[in-house]
Amino acid sequence: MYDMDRTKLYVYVWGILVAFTIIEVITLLAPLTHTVIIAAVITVASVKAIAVVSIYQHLKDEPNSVKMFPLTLLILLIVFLLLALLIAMPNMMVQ
Amino acid sequence: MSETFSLRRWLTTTNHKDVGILYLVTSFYFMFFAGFLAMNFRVQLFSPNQSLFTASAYNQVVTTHGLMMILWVLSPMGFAFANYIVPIQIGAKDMAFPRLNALSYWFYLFSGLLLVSSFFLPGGGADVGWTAYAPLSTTKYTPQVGMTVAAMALIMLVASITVSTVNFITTIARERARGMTWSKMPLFTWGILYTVIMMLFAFPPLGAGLLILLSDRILGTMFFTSNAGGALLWENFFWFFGHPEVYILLAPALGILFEIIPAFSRRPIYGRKFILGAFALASIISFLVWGHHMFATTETALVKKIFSATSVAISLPFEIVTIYLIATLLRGSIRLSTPMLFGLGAIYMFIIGGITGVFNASIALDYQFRGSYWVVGHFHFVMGGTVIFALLGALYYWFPKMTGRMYNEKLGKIHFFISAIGFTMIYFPMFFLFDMPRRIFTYPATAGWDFMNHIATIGGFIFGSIQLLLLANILLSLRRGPPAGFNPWGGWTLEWLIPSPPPAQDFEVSPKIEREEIVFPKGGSTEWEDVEESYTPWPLTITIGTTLGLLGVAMFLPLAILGLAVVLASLVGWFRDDFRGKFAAKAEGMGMWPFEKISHEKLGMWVFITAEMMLFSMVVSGYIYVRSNSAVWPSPLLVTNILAHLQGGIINVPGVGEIAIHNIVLGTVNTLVLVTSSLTMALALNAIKNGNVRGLKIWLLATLALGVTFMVIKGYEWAGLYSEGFTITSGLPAASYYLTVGLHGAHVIAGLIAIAFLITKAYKNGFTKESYTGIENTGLYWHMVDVIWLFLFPLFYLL
Repeated sequence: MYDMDRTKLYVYVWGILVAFTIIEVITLLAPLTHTVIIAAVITVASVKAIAVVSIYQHLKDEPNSVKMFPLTLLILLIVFLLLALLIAMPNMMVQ
Repeated sequence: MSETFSLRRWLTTTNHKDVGILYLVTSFYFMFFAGFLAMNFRVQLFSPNQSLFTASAYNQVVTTHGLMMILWVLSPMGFAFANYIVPIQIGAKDMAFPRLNALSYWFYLFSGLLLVSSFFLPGGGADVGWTAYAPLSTTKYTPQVGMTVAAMALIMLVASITVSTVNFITTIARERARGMTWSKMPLFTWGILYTVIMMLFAFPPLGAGLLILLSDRILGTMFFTSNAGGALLWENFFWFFGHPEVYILLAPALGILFEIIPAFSRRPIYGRKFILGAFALASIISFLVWGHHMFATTETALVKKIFSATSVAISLPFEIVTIYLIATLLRGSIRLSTPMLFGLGAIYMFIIGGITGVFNASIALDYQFRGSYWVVGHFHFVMGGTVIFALLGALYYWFPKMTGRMYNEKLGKIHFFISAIGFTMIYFPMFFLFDMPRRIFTYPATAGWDFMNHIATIGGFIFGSIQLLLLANILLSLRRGPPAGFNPWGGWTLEWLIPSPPPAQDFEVSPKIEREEIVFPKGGSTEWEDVEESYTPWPLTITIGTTLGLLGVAMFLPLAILGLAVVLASLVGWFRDDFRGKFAAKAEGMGMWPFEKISHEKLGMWVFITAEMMLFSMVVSGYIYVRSNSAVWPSPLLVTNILAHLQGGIINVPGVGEIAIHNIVLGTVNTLVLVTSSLTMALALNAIKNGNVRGLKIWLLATLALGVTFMVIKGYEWAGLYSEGFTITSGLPAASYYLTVGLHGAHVIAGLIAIAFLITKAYKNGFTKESYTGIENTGLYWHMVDVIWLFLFPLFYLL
């Protein structure tokens, strides 16, 4: 990939990260149930993390042998977080 | 600098064989120390109503014995052989990261010394058992500083093991000789590979638990004393590490047996592929059995059943391994030399320990046996007997290779037979003491336990004292043993094809493995250039600084500042060595499938990142655990009109009361700052890849500035929170926030130090279009810090 192409890609990704961060905050204001807000915010955070790992850390260009380390862990982490949050939800939704 | 008795050599070496010998000598020292403690408490238990120790002194002795034997003896002794043998077995000239290898060793030694020193501090050392169950291990019940120092020793050991894990995975993945495919790799090396993969996932949970424990002990948080966290939080952390630890100890021992049994049966190992499959299966299941240590807690019936099933299931792969070891013997031409005797002894111990372990998987039987001497007998047969006998076998097996001299066979055999008798006398009677609680310092005469305890104590003294014969044999053989030659046992692996002891660089010419033969190319140029022996003081001085720092935090803060200064000065020295390319020549191996397309530095960094992510995921799990167990948790979700409270503060929520939420604006700004720093870091790498050194400098400076900005905003935010009374001791919401975000902040600071070094190097024209490894790897680390924050921001600021 040419230098300028790559620079553009990095800037696009940065733009997505900024936009998604703002979306996370705006989600708080949306008239949604807590369950949906929690799921949405964690999903957006996960998408942001995947963008950083695959583009800035170049994981998408690495051989599969390398991808297996962080991807396995990231998937485990996301699944674990979602499960844990679902367990925690009854207490988090006290109003 | 190859003089055997040169102090400078041993203090500054990075050679894998030297480091292996250092590990071996140190682990033996710790073994004798911990063994001496064991003989002491066996005297106490010899007969009823003994008063050699008070209850607390007894607990300290038992705790130090347990911790030291498991973490500072059994595992490191296996890694002594791994350090020495694995690089040779795979045809490498050294470990992938020689300096990190030395750093691992020094961290190991000093952490052990910290543990020993804690024993002699005012108030005594840790007296909470090796499991350090909370809340017993908190200051409320164990106020002495010795407990804090012991926890710090454990943290230091976790750091040592993490570094070691990165090194071994990278070495085995990247540094194998041509033709050394996975299918041809020796089984001892396979055993070490499985071990380090398990370590990669098992030790971060222990590290996370210890960080939280130290936070409770030093900073005054209440994770383990509150109802929301408490005993179960610690138990989950501990046993998620603790049960895989059993297999972490076993895997090197079994790897040793896979070398010894075939060598002395004169036939290849039977069922190699099944053994490797069984190993893999055991490694995975080892992370699914931790709950059987908590059958007596509030686990639901379904959870108990699941853990009971997985605990029974894990015996299956080990049955396969044992059967194939025995099958290898069946049609072999067996030589009963000392290594083989110890190998057979280890199998005998493993069968007894394994069978008695299956009983513990039963929920009903566990209620009876748990906390009794039955369990002590069981785990000593597995972790003590199997592992120690295999390690002693390894010592006799590789002693000729390491020293160039043979040991005295007759003394070796006497050592084996008396050790086997002594060991069985200690632990077999304990199966009959299934009604004697293990955590008592004395017992009444009416209990009827004295006879079995008599036998156990006599056995202890037999086993302990016969180890002096091993020492005598080693010392005598080092001086007077007959020359060993290259291959006294007729072994098939690479270490037996080079001189004994091996030269500094192991191989004059890189070996090649072609079909079933090992070939040393002759004539022409060597594939690896000769490398000057490398010595460096920085791993040792970094360790000294870290030890001072930890002691200072526990006891006397100015000492911590001195320690930090020593670490920083040492890092400057380390980086200067880097800049001069002192260790660069040792860098690159051949790279075998599937790791041929990645540099060993990058692979090492990815492994390290995996360990770091595991650590953070465990700390975050702790946060979610205490949050889910709290009746109410301050959250913006509870605030009806959040738009009016984006800057956080104390808010009165109807039906809930006053809650403190974080400043969402500041959190958002900081998130944007950090993701922008990720962009600039990526642009820095892009610039140097295109030969743009000026661009590199600009983007690195921008990254540094953004990182500093992040920390300044964080500091401002924390100052505000403190002034509002949201202090680290003001409750679990504050404690979990400061601990998690603070840990992240520490990682940001470490990244900033690395970036400052990169900037210095860039201004000295240290990077070119072809040479930018430091930028790439620091970038990987910096982006990891960003990724962690991407999760911390919503968890702490938004939800």
